[in-house]
Amino acid sequence: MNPLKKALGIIFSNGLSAAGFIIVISFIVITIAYSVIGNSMLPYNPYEVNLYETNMPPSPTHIFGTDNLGRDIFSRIIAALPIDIGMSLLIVAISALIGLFLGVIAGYFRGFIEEIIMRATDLFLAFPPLILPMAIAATLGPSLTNALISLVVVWWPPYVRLVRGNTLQISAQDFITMSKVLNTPFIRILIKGILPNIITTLLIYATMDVGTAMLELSTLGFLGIGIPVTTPELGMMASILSTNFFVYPLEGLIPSLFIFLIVMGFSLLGEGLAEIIDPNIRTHLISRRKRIEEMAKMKKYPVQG
Amino acid sequence: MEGIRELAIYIGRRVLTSILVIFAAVIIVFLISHVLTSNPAALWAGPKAKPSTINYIIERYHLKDPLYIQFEYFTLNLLTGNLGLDPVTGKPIASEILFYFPNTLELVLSALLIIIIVGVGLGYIAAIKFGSKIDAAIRIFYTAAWASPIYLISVFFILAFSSWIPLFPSGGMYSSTIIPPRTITGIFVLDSLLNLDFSAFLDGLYHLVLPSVSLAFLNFGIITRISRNGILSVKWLPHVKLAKAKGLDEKYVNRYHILRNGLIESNTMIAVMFGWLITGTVVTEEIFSWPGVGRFAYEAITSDNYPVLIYIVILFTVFVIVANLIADILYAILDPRIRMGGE
Amino acid sequence: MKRGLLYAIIAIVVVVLVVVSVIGVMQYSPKKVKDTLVVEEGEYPDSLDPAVTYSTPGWEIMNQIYQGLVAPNGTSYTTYIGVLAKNWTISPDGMNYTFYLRNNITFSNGDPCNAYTIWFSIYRTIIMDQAPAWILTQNLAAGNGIDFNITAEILNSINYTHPSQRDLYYMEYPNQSVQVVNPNELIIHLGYGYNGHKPYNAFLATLITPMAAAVDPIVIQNHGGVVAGSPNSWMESNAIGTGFYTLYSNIPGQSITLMASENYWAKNLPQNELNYAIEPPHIKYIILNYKSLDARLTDIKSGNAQIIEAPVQYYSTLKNISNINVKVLPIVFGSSQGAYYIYMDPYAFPPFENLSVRKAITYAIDYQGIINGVFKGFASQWIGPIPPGFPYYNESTAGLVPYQQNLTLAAEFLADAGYKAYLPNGTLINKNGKDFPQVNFLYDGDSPSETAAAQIIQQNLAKIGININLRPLTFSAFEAVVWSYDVSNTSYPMGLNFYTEDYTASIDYVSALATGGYVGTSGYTNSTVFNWTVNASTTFDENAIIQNFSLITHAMYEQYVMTWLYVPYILSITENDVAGIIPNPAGSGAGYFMYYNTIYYTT
Repeated sequence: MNPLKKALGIIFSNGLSAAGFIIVISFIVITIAYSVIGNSMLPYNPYEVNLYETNMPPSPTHIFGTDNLGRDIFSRIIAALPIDIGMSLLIVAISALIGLFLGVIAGYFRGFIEEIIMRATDLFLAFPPLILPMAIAATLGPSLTNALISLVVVWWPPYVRLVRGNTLQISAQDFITMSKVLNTPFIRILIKGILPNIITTLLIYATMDVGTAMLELSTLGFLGIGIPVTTPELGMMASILSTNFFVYPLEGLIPSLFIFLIVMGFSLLGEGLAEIIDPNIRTHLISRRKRIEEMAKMKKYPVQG
Repeated sequence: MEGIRELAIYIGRRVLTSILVIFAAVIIVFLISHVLTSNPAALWAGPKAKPSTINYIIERYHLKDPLYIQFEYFTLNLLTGNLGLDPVTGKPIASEILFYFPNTLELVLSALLIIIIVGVGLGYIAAIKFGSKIDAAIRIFYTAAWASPIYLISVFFILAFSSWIPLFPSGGMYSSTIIPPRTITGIFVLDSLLNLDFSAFLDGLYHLVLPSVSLAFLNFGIITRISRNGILSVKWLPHVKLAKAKGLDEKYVNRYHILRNGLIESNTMIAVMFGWLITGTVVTEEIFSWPGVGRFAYEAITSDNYPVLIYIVILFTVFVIVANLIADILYAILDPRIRMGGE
Repeated sequence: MKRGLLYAIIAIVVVVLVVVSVIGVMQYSPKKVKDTLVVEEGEYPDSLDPAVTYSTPGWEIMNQIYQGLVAPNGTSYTTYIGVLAKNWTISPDGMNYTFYLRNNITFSNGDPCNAYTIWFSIYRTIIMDQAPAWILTQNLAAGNGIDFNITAEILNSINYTHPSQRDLYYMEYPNQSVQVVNPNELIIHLGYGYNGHKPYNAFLATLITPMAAAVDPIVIQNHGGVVAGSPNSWMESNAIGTGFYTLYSNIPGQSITLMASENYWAKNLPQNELNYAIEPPHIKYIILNYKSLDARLTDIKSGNAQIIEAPVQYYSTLKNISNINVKVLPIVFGSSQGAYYIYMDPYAFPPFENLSVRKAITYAIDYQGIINGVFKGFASQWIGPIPPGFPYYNESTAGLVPYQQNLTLAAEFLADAGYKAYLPNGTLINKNGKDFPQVNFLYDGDSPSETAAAQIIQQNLAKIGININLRPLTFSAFEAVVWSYDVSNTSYPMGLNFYTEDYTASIDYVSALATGGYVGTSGYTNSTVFNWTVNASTTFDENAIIQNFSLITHAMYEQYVMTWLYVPYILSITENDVAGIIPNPAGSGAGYFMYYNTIYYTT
């Protein structure tokens, strides 16, 4: 059977993941389309100020209305997708790579190096998740790269714990112990033995985490920290809520609803996948807030040699 | 005896590592704030400041000294509890934090209360109705709740319950017509109760509803999930089945065996969550004009006020670490297997 | 049973919510207490020390708790009446002001307030030397530069209730800025400050600022005394003054409550000695809440607030709320809050030295578009440095027309300056020119209107070929940049800046904008213009003042030193039954009046 078909079959076997999948895929398709085609696919230039059509309510010409500078909100939302989704994917991908690297080292080599890595992880896990990125982003100044850096600083620790935990379990299995005895090079053990066994869990966790990263990113945007002001970013577009919602609530509510929809899509997809692939792992999954849960679980079953 | 000794050793180790982690956190926060921030003296001096004022600030906050000397001053201050003056407001930082922190605590504790009641309640229902439509509905509900941007919920609550249906105040911690009660704990609702000032107490509660509900709304899902899974995992355990087989009333079994076990599951979670919530108040406090430490942190960040920021970050970090420590110790007491396991 | 638990949980939650909300609604929905006035604004005061505060909300509180020698005469902004001073005389050369104080003035704690107190208060501000101290130190100083110098130690050592011979020596020494003659009389001698030995025709205006307010030396001596160059942390959050209100409660970041002073010294003053600035208040409590704009609009609508501050863009929204009175105040009030312009710092960015570049930028801006788009039309274009509505504005701008957008001209000027430029139809002119270098554009990112205006300006300039990078800073960081002297060494060579009055006098704007030498006013440091401002501030001859102001205005206009943008109007928003407000641009209460004591309810 075609593996793609098989994967789709798995995804659509579960209502949650099916719904999540459809949402995520539609947004990703739009994102890619916009990244390729650019502004010409939009009804209006998302950056173009039009001082004669400010704060317009939704109408056939502007389906979501216009903002305080007369920019078309629908166009801006589409233009924001590559930024919001792309940045969130990047945050998660970088964090997952760091987690993979440190987690495997800690879980495989154990001993002193594990102790150092895990204490450092504890340390970063204890930092206030929103306040530290805010502080870093504010001092570095507004740019997407800086926002990315500031979020990765607090984003990687759960990945290390997740990967280390899995590596520990797998390393204890006979085939790895055998390989060690046979002096198989570490890289080979890693690629053939460890990675295939932890990648699924990691991917599921990461899928759900994308939504959470997006929430955090858009919160920075909402607070006006780290994101350049003209950038169409959903959180920043929603920040109009803090000054203007009494008069023009829709200008901020619509972008917020889009954030909600995308985050929901990723959460559902991840949760559904977890349910299908490995019913056991879902207890220590589920994104940012789920990170706490993951921490609690780690405490409950500390794996120590 | 053996068990108690072991427990003591375990707790001792955890406390020790926590202290080390806190110390490392202090160093890192110090480095981040001092290395990343360019010379803030002009900013603190205010507009149209003369060079003499700027020099005075540089001297006072040792801004020109090498980092290790600044760090020495900093740790000395930290250890003596003399945190110095806020360069922006000119007030002692310690007293500012002591003022703002109880307000945040009030918000967080009340949100936590709502989270526990609603979270455990829904989790219990979902578990009992496992696989049914109610179960599915609850799961979708909490997934949706934690997919919501925090500002959307807060703003929506103000819009709905303060503007469209004017039931609750739009912000603030208590009506300004209320004369604040004598400070005992610093927590307004508690102080007014202790002073037997019921109108102040009700007023405080009344202002607390919207912010604490919106903070709780975003976070109850985790507890629902944990208690649902916890209850599910014991639902089919031998002693529960045995109890049912023995002919014990099903209601009784559900209530005592299942719920009790489910609650132990979420117990540690609640301690961890406490640490989490306390850092998650920035946006809520900003939107509800709540004079808490999260909003204070936001202001400190936006004015490069790192003498204040550094202490807030340390405060939060210590809180998270201590909450984790308590959770660990609680768990060790509740579940002896942990101590056997080594760490 | 499962159901039982479910219902129990729901019931508890619902009951708690309902009880709390019902009680709340019953207690607090529009049931106005007639002895309380709730005022809502956006920004919490920066400080409660009159020698330190440098913000509108700070001064608002100061004006109610503390008092100075004089106050503006009602709605006039060029004449004054006595507060602590009963009357005064000015020497013919304008160098000496003799004040005769009222009798039996006391602080709210009962301590006496007399000439010794004023002497202490003025020197305290000067010696603490905080940001706003320049308002006094331009004319006054702690020493005479020769043989006499007041220090913090001297201020702290004097016994102000029973001064010793030594104490009196310091206070009565004649060659100093503030000389005590006797407990009820003092002379202020100008000429010791950085303005040099010259009179200053706006001196009384500087005396109505909190910097010159009377503070209680005994209280300060008991709380850390005066420290040179340093604020006093006790005074930051406590306040004991001679004013009609006292500080009743202070919740940082949330609210400040003022209560009518119980033993206010002017309570038993005969009617003929009273004036509006000292009469006892009508309303017992003034509550100032600091809330977000949405919360303020919600509260005025529901009757929970009687006066709010809201930007002028909300005029039509507010008009739709019944039972409130919304007025657009005359432009002078807007001017006193903020007159906006683009600054171009030639020291940090050499292309700005070229007049054609400055002209190109000025002609590229869509002034009317900003006013309509951002302010819904409620703003006025202006020609600086004197803001519209202030004395001599009309005279000094006579014959000039505010800058207009003309993209063709703008492109031609840019091409003249040697840069590539684009005509409105997209044609590139001066193909062989250089690209105009990218330049950072600073503005206050906390302000929604500035954020919007900056984005419009960015697009306007992009049309002719000038690309600016928007660099918002938070308000405090923004202020620290634009009001620093670091002109050549700044990463913000261009920006959207505004000037708010420090005291109601045209010269305040002129000397700051034309000769300030700050980053945000850095276009001009020119000795000719400097001399004109000196002439305008030292003469008492109307025609000479007008002549000099006119020269400055024309020179700056023709040199395109700054791109004068707009002055937004401001709103007065009160409930219908609030009366007695006496508006004055010098005021800071809700942005437009001085004192809360005159306010009363009509019903």
